[in-house]
Amino acid sequence: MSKFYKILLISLFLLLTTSAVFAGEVKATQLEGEFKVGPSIILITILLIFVLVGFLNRARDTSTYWAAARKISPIGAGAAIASNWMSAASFLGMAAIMYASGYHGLSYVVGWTGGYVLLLILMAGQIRRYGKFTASDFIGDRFYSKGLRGLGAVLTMLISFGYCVGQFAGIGLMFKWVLGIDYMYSVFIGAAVVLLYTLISGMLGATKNMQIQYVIILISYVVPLFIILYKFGYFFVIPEIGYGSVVSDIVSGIDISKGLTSMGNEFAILPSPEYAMPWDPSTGMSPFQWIAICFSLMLGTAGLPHVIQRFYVVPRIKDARWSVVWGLFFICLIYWSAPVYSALGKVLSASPNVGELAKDAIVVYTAQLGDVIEFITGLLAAGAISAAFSTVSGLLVAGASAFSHDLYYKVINPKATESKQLLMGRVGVILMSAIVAIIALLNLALIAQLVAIVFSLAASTIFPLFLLGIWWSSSNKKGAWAGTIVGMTISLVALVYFIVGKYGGALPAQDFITYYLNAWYFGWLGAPLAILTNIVVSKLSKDKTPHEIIKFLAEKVHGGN
Amino acid sequence: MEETKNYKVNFFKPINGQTKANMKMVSIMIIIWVLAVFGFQVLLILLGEPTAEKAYSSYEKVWAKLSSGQEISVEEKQDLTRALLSVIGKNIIINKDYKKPDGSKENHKKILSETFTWSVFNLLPNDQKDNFMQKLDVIATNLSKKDELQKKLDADTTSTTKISEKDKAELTKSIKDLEDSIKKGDTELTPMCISVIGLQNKGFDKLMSEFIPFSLVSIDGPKLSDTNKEAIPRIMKLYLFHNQSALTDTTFLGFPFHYWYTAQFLLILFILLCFVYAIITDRIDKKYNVPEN
Repeated sequence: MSKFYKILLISLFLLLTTSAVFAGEVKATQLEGEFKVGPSIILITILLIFVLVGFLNRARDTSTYWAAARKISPIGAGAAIASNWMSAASFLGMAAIMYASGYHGLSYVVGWTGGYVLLLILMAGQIRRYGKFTASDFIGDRFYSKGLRGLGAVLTMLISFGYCVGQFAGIGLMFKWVLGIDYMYSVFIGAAVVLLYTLISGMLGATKNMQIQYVIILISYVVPLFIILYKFGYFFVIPEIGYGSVVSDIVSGIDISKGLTSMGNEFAILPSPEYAMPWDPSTGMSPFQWIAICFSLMLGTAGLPHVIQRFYVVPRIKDARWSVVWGLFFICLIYWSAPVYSALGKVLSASPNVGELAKDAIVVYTAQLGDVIEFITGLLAAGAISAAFSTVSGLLVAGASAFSHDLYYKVINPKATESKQLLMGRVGVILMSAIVAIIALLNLALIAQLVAIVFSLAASTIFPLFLLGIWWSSSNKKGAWAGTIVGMTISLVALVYFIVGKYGGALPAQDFITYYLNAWYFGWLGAPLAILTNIVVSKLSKDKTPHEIIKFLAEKVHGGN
Repeated sequence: MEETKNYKVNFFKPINGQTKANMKMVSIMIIIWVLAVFGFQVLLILLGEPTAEKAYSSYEKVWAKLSSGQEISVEEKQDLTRALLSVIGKNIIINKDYKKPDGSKENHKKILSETFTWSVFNLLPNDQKDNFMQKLDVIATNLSKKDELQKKLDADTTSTTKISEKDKAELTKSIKDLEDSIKKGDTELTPMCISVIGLQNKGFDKLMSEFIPFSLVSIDGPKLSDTNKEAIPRIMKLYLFHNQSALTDTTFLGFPFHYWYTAQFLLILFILLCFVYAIITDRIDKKYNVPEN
């Protein structure tokens, strides 16, 4: 533990010295379109710190790695869960969606935290006891099917892939802000940097700097809030409570009598109840959509391969449970803070002089419009990038290993040598990031919505397999196939309608499908239907789950004697 | 066969004390979880009443008179103009295309701006009306010229036809000149509007006057177009009604209660549920001697 604090102190010291380097030239009034020296330095410093920490902390070989992992406390493991989870969608996307559509956006906050309850009480301990290494390993083993294992690997790849698209969009936006260049170029530069980072940290085995990553993400996210709330006379000691009055003030309006200004604009807004009132007509969002999004995100959380996989490596079952409790707490620290950005951003951008802002960058714009010194704004942008980086490198590795291990080695070419597998893994990472970058350029939707798509996909396909696989031993191979096919069909229909609609086309019942099976919440129907199909087909088919699996489930997984 | 039966795992048919205790706890937790998250939203739906903002009632009265062809007083005209301006003041959300009930699209900002300009025009003394219209036309021409030049300048970076540096500088300068003259036109017109609407130099009034230069557009004549006439009641209703209830009007820790509940309390509840689960499971495992690994 003391080593951890030492490294943390060194990192913070490094950050502070970089701030001193350009403390002279504070204040950049331009929102974007120029190269920002300070933020660039901070960004490079932070990325270097991550690599350096990984290097100093690296495990010499696998056995020392495991020995070190066993010593990790549930709190440390919780911070790692949080850092793994926190992505551009949490850091930038949630505030953006609340900024754009008020109360509707809270469905994302609730959905992405409430899912952890399901994950813990239904799965975490049992998954740990089952003791496989990847999600598709579990699926293939539990449903005694090579084909399902391959399908699980493909789904894992698709999910990692889709998740990355939203992250790349966030990385592109932030690089655009820091470097002052076109979105197109910044996506490619960002992709190149993240690829380099993944390959370097992959070689160093730098998975243990996650706690430090979490601390930096948290600090960079919360510090601007203290400053802005203090500046405008709100209760700033706990920003997550202090912004309550900002929300109420937005509803009743803030007139200029307070005389507070920021960058030449008054801190004022005309009465805007649409910001806080539930499913306001003007946002165009209905209560059904709120509930559907929330539900899909919750089930999706409990079905995401890269989240589930974390429980396989926890040494003790008891620790697996407690690390979720701590992980959720650390996640909530950020999720309590995200709405503060949207509320402050709403007021600060209310003046017609500010003009239209890119919603997904509202977190950074809020700090800028609030006239927070450039060092801290730069730190914020760097925090956003590192949140996206840590997630992307994990996803790229997960996607590539699903490709090289689960699909290539186990299904396609069982005779492949280790070096061949490794090569396939690397090729997978590079190919994947290139395609993801191109899709990120299409600007299909807001970051949070892009990420929500894969949550619905996970909810409709992987979640039912885990839920029934663990809790109902009569669920068999045929049932699993049928359920997964139903889930995939629903996903496919939703995505096809989404893409056709996006490019102005219309298929039969376009409006109906777009509303009820929207790309960011089709999981509300996909998951229950997949579960139902799985149950019905399992009951009807003559296929039986092998006795040893049933016995294993009862004795080992559920611990019954 | 007998043996297989005993081993069957089914969440709802626990086979021993430990799984039974687990089922009980998990069921209770899921019920709490569902009720807390979705039950509350259902409550919000059931209790929510569409409630109008203040601006709506003044608008509604005047609009009713107007559509039935009655004469309206200067004060009433002012009320209408203010109501329009307060909707325009919700600047972020009105600036996108909306689907009309018949499926076609409309831009609410455009409709509101045209109606606002028409409404100001009606308030002006007769001798200023021509001047007002002329200036608006000049601004509109300058704006379209500026857009054209800007397009040319932007094309330089996106297409292959390159513009020489000299031409570029010239383009930038003409754009700047046009911007200046637009600004000049706006600064002449804004005080005229402020005085006829009766906006004061303080409070929300001052805030509203900031939106005037962004809301003046050139209009065809002294009559409001039929499309706008049809659209305005719909638009005003859309933006000025909100789902409110006792849950949204009570404040707690400074928050509207429902907002606090969803944004903060639910997250606290999730952590608590996980915390309690971890403690109870530790106890169950101990009681039934479940192996740790």
